[in-house]
Amino acid sequence: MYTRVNRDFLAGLACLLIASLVLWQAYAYDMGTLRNMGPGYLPRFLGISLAVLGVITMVFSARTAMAFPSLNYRALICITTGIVVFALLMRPAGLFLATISLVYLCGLSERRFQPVRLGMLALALCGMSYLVFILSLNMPIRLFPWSF
Amino acid sequence: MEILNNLALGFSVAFTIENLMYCALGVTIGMLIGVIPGVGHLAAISMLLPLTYYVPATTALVMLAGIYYGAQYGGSTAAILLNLPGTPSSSVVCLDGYPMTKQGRAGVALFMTTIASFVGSLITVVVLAAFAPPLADFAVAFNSADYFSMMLLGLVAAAILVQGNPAKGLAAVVFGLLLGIVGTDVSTGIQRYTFGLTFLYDGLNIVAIAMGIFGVTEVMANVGKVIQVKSDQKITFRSLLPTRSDLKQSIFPMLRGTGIGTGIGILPGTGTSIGSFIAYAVEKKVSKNPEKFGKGAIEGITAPESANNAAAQSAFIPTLTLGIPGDAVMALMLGALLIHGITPGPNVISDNPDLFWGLVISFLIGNVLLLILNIPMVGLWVRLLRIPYPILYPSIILFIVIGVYSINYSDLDIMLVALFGVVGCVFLLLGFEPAPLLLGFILGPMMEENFRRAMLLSRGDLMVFLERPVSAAFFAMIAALIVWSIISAVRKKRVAVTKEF
Repeated sequence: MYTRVNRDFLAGLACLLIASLVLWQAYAYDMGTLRNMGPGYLPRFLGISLAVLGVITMVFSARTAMAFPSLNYRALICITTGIVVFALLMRPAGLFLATISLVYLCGLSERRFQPVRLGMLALALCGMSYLVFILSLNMPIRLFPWSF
Repeated sequence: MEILNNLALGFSVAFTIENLMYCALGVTIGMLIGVIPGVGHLAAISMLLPLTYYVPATTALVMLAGIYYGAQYGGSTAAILLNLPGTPSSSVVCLDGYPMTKQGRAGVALFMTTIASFVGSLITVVVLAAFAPPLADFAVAFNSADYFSMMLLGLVAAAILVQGNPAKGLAAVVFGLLLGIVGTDVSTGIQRYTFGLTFLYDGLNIVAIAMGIFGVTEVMANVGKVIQVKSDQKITFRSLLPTRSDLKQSIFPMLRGTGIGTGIGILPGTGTSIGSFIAYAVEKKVSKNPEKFGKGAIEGITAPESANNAAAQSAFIPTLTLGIPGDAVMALMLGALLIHGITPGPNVISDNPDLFWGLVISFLIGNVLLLILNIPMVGLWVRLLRIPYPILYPSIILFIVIGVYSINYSDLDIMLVALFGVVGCVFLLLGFEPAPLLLGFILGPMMEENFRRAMLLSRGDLMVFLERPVSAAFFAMIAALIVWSIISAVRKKRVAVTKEF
């Protein structure tokens, strides 16, 4: 059948890729028997199913595929980085610094960078999260790099 | 008079200060995110899921459910005033709601959709109270083979009905099942797919997954897309009042919409959007003058609004009685139950009558609150449409990350949110639906356990699934669904069913 690289072809390929990773790891687990299933039974079954579904998706991809949706890659990168940096800063640097860095990194996903507006938003959010999470919910979260 | 006792119990639970507060909080947040385009109820529910750890199970469910049906009320506001659906299910309301605004009847449209929503919800709550307990009683007799088949049916239906391409829908379910495997195997104690990382021993955190694939992905997809709206609509109280003929024309559409929505809501994998689409189509078909539709027909807004609210309530029937969630929102409700150590299934109502009846009564309270929030305060919500998205989305992301951090104080959970945000984007890019993944993740461990038990009892004989009448019936339905999806895929008549996002 005529196939070419399109959205569903790639989707099927992704299924195959993940299925092979799953199966590769699944062989480390004991399969057991149907009567007394081991920990490896379900992973193997699911891995094979995923591979089959991937092949089906690929075979029919020429008929089923639709165009790729437009994705805002800039937002994807900026927001993901923002969350990761927040995770890294939370413990050592405290909530306030982590919040400010998150707001600025998220703000980078806009075409126009507005440092003053983001600064105001960051300050407002610091205040709000202090009220909600620290004062009313009493969460033990470090606030500044030098506190407790 | 068992029902009176049950209702009395429900009132005593729902009218505690804490539950009333969280009910009000839930419906207000729901209304808010329903009104604001670009923020969906899934993002809001996953954002508030961490609160579940701080309050009792009933309170948590009262609040989360409030967000869900509150959003159904709010969604029509932006649809009517700006031709922008606040939630996917309200996109139908645009068709006739926006023409009404252009004719200067925005107030009437807002009033009538609120009434339609209220009617739809109220009737369905009664249905829920009447039919859920007997259904649960029936399901109590299920054994592990029946359970397994029922959950399989739920997953297959969700996979096939939610997405245009059945193979990809099933693949999304398998992804979810695989994520459910991660962690310690319950029956052997062996670590599966943990790669020596201790924080994975208890499995992946459902909150982190939901927040990533629903919350973060939604924000990423909307940045730069949500246009700043300028609405100078002024809604006066007087303009709200409908004419006598508006009311008269709406009674039967509302009832028909409620019936359709209730039926659709019970089915797994459908959700609220499909209900409102079908209700609209039916109204157009039964109408004596179908040419009115699209030009401001009142039936065109009341029937779908009743339908989506009815569906939002009736979706709780299979969720609470059988433990099979119909869509991603219901999966998150089950997640909230699991967080509190309550195993979803037919025993929920008999073991936790306070939870079920409290929730039912809270639906009544919540809908009355929404009526109050909507009609006198409509001007306030209209003003909210002007909050710029660049201010909104960093706040959403911040609340998501602090929320997930608050569960275990683990920075790795935050990393997991980032990871699943990216996974959600890949899903969007390749055209996989995220909802079946979440269903698979929730149901997977329960299915594996029931399958193992069934196999142990039947000594490894797979025929047990076809010998039990209940289980065989479920398998017949699964087979019918698959055959139907293949036939319609071959005929290529399938329209990609609306996305529940």
